[in-house]
Amino acid sequence: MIVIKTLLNRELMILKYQWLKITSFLLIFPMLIFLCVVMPLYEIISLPVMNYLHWSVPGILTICSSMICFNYGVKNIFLLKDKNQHYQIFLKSPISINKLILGFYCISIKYGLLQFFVGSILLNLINQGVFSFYQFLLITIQILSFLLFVGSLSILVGFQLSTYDSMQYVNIALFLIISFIFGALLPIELFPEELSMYLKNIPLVIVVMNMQAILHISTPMYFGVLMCLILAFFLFLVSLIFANKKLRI
Amino acid sequence: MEASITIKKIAKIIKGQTILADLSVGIEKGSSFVLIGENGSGKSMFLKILSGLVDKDFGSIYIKGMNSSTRGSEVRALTGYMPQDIDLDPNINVMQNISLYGQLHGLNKEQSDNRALNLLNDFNLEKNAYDFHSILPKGKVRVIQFIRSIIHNPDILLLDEPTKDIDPHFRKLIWKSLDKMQLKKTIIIATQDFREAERYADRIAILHNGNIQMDGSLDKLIESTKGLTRYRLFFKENISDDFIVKVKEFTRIIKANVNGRELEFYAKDRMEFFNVLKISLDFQLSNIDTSFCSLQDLFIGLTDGGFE
Repeated sequence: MIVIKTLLNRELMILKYQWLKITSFLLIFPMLIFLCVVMPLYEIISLPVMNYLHWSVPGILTICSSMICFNYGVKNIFLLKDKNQHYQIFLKSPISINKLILGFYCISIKYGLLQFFVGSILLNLINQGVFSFYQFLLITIQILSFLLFVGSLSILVGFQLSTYDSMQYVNIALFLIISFIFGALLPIELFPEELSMYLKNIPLVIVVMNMQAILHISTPMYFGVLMCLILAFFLFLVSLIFANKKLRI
Repeated sequence: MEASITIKKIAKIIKGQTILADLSVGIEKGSSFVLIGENGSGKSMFLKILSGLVDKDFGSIYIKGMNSSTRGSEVRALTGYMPQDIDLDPNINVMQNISLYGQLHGLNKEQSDNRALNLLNDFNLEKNAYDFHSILPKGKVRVIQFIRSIIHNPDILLLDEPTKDIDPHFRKLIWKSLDKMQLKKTIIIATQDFREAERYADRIAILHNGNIQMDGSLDKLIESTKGLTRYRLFFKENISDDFIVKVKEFTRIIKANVNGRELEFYAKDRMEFFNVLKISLDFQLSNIDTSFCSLQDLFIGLTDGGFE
């Protein structure tokens, strides 16, 4: 599709000028979570199945890639909504709003995946042999479904929020939710039993648990992935409704 | 002549304020249509609606027979739009900015890059092709915006204050380029530069209170003043109140305006001027100037309550 190709082209142009800034960010973010959150928790949490440092790797990757994906998604929608910004050329083009939103959705997921790949290499270097190539592929499928959901959410949130300040609050909330409520850094089993039973039914939590399960060679629950994809699709459709109501008006 | 654009009773209301109201106009193919109006009169909004950037609230627009509401993508593909504000992407260089616009309008990357380079050459900006626009003077950035609007060779060009902030050299290049395109394209320009409007337009429309108040060729507009002449009298000293009182006794002079040592007024009958001149001789008159109504006079008259 022309729009995705053109938007990817633009991102490549930007990457050419800002590669150092972007690469540094992609390296620093997972490193910071590892050093500032996972290392202290390693002293407190011991797991029966495996080392906490290894167990937390999919969680760190989920948090980093989701945050990057979410931020790119919201930022792009903010720029599209801003009538004084350079993104107006996209609205002026013959490309329909639906295709445009799909293009930006793909871009945000692309950045999420880029963060996932960079983070995987980095964390594999720190935690020698945390996962095999086969496990990496399985985790990629899980993270992709998670990112598809987060990408849709970012577009929807982008249309609802009006200021960068409010975006900061949502960012912090998202970080806390994925890190601690979705079990990316804290095992769900540590929560009170009633709450953990409830949390284990949330598709996104199932996806995070799937990634952790893949590491200790358990079978992932693909029902979670499927639910995640359905939710992502639904959210994306809702986002399109908002997009058509709020852009080119 | 074949109509290129037909606008029927369009209206735009933003936050309860009417920007355009019941505006209808037809623009012929291959003509240049210049829109003049005060700040905030709705000129830019008119262009934004035509470009498809903003949707109208009421009415319909047909571009080359296509309804802009139902065939928006095709309509947008036909237009090139140069906004009044700088809207180039700060993250990529000048060439990439122009090329990206071409790609968004259906050119492939190679075609778009080549056309961008050729156009930059035509405007003597090839040296700045790989610069970021943030380091360039505003005038050059505006020229780059103009180049960007024509990269995909659109049938309809929408230019919002195209020569604003641009030096005479680049201004000349832009007009030269527009002259070349004039017969092939429909060009709509919003401007406050009356000289350029007079020189360039096939048709001029004066936008006021959200609607077109006057519309026609320059000759037709001037003709509508029915021989109205502008008179300016200059005095050696500031004009006294006694003199103003005497001038106001001539009820057939229009829009008498005193500005320090200068008296300006309009009149259709030359005798009125002679009457004012007669009393002026007692008040140290130093110079006089008479001219037929220009577009600017017409505009000021119209936006300031008319010449009646």
